[in-house]
Amino acid sequence: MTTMTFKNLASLSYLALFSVACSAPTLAPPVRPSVAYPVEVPVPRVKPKQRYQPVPRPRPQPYQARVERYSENVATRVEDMDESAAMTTVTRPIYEAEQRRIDAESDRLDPYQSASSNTGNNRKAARTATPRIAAGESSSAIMSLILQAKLDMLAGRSDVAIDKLERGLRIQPQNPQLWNKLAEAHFHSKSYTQAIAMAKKSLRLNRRNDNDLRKRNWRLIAKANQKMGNMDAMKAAMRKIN
Amino acid sequence: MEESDNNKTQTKRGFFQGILTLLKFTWNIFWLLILAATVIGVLFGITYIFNLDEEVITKFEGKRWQLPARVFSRPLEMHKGKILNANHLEQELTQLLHYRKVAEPQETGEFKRKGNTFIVHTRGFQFADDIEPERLIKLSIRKEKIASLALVEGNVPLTLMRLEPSLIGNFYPKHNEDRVLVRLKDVSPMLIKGLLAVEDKRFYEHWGVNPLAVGRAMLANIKAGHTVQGGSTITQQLVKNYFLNNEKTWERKLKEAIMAVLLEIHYSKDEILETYLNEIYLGQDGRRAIHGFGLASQFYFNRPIKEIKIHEIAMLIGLAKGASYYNPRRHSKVALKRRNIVLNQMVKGGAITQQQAELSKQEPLAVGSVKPSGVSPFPAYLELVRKQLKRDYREEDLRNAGMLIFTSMDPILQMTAESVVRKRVRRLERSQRIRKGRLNGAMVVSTVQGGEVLAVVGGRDARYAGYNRALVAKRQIGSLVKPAIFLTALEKKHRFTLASRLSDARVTVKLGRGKYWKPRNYDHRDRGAVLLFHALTLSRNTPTVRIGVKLGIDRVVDKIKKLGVTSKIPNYPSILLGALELSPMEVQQMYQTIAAGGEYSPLKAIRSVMNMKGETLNRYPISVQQVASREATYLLSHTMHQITKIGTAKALSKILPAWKKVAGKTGTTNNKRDSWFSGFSGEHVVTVWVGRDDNKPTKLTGGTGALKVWGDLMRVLPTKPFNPRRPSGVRWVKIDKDSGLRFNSGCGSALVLPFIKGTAPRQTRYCAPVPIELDSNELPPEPNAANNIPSPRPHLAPTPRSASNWVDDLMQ
Repeated sequence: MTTMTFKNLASLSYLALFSVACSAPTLAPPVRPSVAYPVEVPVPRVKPKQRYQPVPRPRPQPYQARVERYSENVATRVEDMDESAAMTTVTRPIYEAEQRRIDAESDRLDPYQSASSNTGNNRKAARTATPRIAAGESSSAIMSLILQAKLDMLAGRSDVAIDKLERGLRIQPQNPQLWNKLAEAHFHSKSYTQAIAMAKKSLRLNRRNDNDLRKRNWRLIAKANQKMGNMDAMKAAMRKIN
Repeated sequence: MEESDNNKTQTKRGFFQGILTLLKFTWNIFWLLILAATVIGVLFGITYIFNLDEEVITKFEGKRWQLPARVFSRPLEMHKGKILNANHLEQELTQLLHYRKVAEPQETGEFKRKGNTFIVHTRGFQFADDIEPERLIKLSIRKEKIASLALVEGNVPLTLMRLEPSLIGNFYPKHNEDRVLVRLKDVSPMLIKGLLAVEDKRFYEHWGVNPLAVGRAMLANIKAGHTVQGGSTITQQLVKNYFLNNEKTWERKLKEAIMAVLLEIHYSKDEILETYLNEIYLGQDGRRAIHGFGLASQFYFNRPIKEIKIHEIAMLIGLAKGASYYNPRRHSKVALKRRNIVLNQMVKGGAITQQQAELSKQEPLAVGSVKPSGVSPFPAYLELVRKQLKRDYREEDLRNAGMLIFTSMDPILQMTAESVVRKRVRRLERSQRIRKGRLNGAMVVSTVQGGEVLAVVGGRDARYAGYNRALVAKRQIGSLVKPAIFLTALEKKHRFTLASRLSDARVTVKLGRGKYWKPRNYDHRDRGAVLLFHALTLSRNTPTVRIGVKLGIDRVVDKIKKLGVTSKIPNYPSILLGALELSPMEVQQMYQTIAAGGEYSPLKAIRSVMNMKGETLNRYPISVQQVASREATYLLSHTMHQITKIGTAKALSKILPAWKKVAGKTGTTNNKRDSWFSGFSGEHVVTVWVGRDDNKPTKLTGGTGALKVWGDLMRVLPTKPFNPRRPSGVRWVKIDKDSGLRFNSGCGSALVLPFIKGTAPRQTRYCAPVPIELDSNELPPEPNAANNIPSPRPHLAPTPRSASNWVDDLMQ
C-alpha cells in the first residue's frame, strides 16, 4: 500500500516535472525593453563619484564621434513622489524643521527678494538702487477705477467694466484686486475660462495673503466651474474656500 | 348772270366755309395736340422730378456717411506717481496733439510750461468706456514722475485723467476723400453767420433758389461781359457738389435748381447747412481731397474747428469760392486779399464788429507751413492694425464707415524706437564697412502684461510704407530658439535642473540612413561637462542639441507652438539650433509668453473699435492662458537674466544702470546673416533684428549687432526692472559651480540657483584635503591611505551608519 502510494507519488511528480519541462518555453516569454527605440541613447554624463573622493575639475575630453539616434518621442516618466506622505509621527517634525530651514535659506539667497543686486557689492547696489516706485501713490486712482467698474457691473455693463479694469492694469499690472474684479467681469460676460484663469492669477499675486480676496477668488472659480459643468473642479474649489 | 353771280357767291361762300371748317378742324386738332402734349409733358415732368427726387434722397442719405476710419494712439494716462519725462510730455502736446504753447492758457488746446510745471487746458474726448471732460489742469513733474496733478480751479487734486489720443493714421474711402465730420452745434456761430453773409444772405428765407440773386448776377455778368458773380444759393452749391459735374449748361442749371428745391422740401435748413459745411471742397493734398470745414481747419491750422480764430475763419470761408485759386500755401497774397474781403462782408452781415475785423486784418495768414500729411507717419504700426482688423471687418467697412480705432501704440516710444534703429544701424553699417543703405533692422516693443504692442519699426526709413520687416520678413532665428528648448527640459523637473551636467563635446545626430548632422559650438571648442545653466548663458550648441534630441523634436516643436508661434515649424533636428524662419513679430510673441511667466496672451494692437455714433463695435480684452509651467519659466527667466550679466549679452551690464535688470537672449545665424536680440525688462518686451534684405553675411553676431540696438533703446526707455515673482514651488540653493553639487565652503566657487522644490541636488561637493604644515613635535598620526584622511568636511550630510561599521566600532 505504502509502496503503491510512493510509486504513485513518484510517477505523479515525474509527470509534473515533464509537463513543466514541456511548457517552460511558453510560460516565460523573452523580456523586451519597453523603450521606444532599441538602442539606448548614450547620455554623456559624468558618473557621480564616491562620497569621499575628490571630484576633479572636469577636463575637456578628446573628441569622440558619438552617434545619437534621433527618435520621435522619448518619454520615460518619473513618478512624482510626495515625501511628506510617507512620514511617521516621529520623522514628520524633523522633516518639517528641515523644510523650514531650506525655505529660510532660500529666502535669504533669492536675489530678487532684496533690493541689492546679485553682485554682492552692497555699496554699488545702494548707489544704483532702483528708483522707488511706491505702490501707494497710484492706489487712489486704482480704487476709483475699481469702484466705477463695480457700478458698471451692477448696471450690467460688464464690457465697460472690463475696459476700466484693464485701464487700471496698465497702471498696476500686478494688482490682485484688479485681477479679481476683472475675473468677475469676465464671469458676468460669460467667458468662464478667462474668469478662472484670471482668478487664479489674482490668487498667485495675492502676496499679502488677503484672506477675503482668497475666498472671493475661490468662490468665483467654483461658480465658473459650475457654469461650465466641471463639478469635480467646482468641489475642489469649494474645499479651498474654507 | 344773277345765277352765275349767285353761283359765284355760293361757290365763294362754300370755298370760304370749307377753309373755315378746315381751319376750325385744324384749330381743334391743334388744341387737342397741345393739350395732349402738355398732359404728356406734365406726366414726363412729374416722372422726371420723381426720378430726381429719388436720386436726391438716396444719394443724400447714402453719401452723408462716407468717412475714413481713424486710427488713434493710446491716450496718455496721468496720475500721481506716473513715470513721465517732461520733455516727452511737451513733445506729445505740441507735435502729436498740436497744442499751442502760450503765456496764459485760456482756451482748449493751449498749454503753458514753466520748468517742470505744466498748465494744460485739455480738449476732452469721448472714449469707449466714458467721457473725459475738457478741463484746466496743473501738473508738476519731479524726477521723471508726476509729483502732483490737480485742477487749476480750486486746486482740487485729480486721481486719474487722460489726454486725448492722437491721430496716427486713416484708412481712406475709394476716392481718397477725407473729412472730419462736424456738427452744427459744434461750429462757432461766427463761422455760420460769416459763411451766410458771403455765400447766401437769404439762406433762411428762400426755397432753394433765389431768383433775385440770379437776376442780379446775370446783370452783373452781362455788364462785365463774362462771369463775375454766381447767383447760386448754398443749397444749389451743395447739389452741384453732390450730384453734378462742373459743366456750365442751361440744362444742368435747370436740373440743379429743381434738385435744390427738392432738397429743401425733404430736409431742414439746418441739415442742409450741416451737410454743406462737411461737403464743401476746400483744398487738395496730393491724392487726398480736403472736404469740409472740420478737416480744412486741421489741414491749414492743425487745430480742431472749435479753436480757430476770426481771421482763420474768414480765410476758410474765402476758400469756398475757389480752393485752388485762393490756396494760402501757394498764393498767399491772393488769399490774404480774399480773407480781408470776407472780413468786410462778415461785418456787413453782422457776424463780427468793425473793430474785430480791423484787428483781424492785422493778423498774418498763420497757415502751418508743414501740412499735416494724410499719409500716416507710422505706416509699420498701421499695417499691424489693418492686419488685426481684417480678421473682423470687411475692407469696405474699414474705409467708409468712419470707424474710430483705438490702439495701444505709444507714439513717444515709437518715435524713440525709430530713431534708435535708424542711428544704430547706420553706425553698425559704417563700422562693418557694409555698402551704404544695405544693412537694415526691425524692432517690436510690447508690454509684458497683456501683450499690447507699443511700437513697431519696420525698417530704417520708418516713414516709408514699404517692406515691413517686423511683420513680413521671415528669417532664421538662430539661438533665439534655445529658451524654448530649455523650458521644455526644465519642465521635466526630474530629468533636468539648472545644475544638470551636460557634455559640451561634439555631437552627431543620425538623421537617416547614412545621413548625419554634426553641429558644433560657435567657438569650435569643448568645455567638457557644463551645467545646464551655463549651457544657456554661454549659448552652447552641442548641449542644446543633446537636450533637444533627448526630449524629442516633437515635444520641442509643440512647446514653441504653445509659446505662441503660428508659423509652420519643420520637424527636423536642425530646428534645435534655430533653423526655422520666423518674423520678428512671432519671436516677440514667444518671448512675450516667457516674460509673462508662461502666460500666453496674444499680441494685440487694438483695444477697441467704435462706430461714428460712439457705440463700441468690438473690444479686444486681455486674455490669459498658462501654457508653460510657472516654476520652469521662473528658472528659465533667471537664466536669461544671467545671460545679460555673465553670458553672451554681458555687454548690457555696462550699458544699463545696475537697477535696470533685464533678461534676454542673443541670436546669430549661419555666416552671421542675421543678428537677433530679444529680451524683456519688468515692463517691456523688445525684439530686434538686424540684417540685410538680400540675406548676405553681415559680420555681425547677435551680441555685436542687434544687442546694441536693444541696449540703446533700453537705456532711454523708462521701464521697471526685471523682477520676477517667485512661485511657491521654487527654492534657491547655493551650489558648486563646477560639479553642480551643493556648495562646500571648503573649496570651489558658489553659484546661487533656483530649483523646483525637491529637485535640488542633495549631495555636497567633496573637498580634497589641503596638506597642513604643523610643528614637528605635534605630528598627526601618519595617514596610511588617501581615502582615510579625516578631512575638514563642513556641511556634510551625516553618513548613514551601516551594520558593518557598528561591528567595527565594537571590535575596537
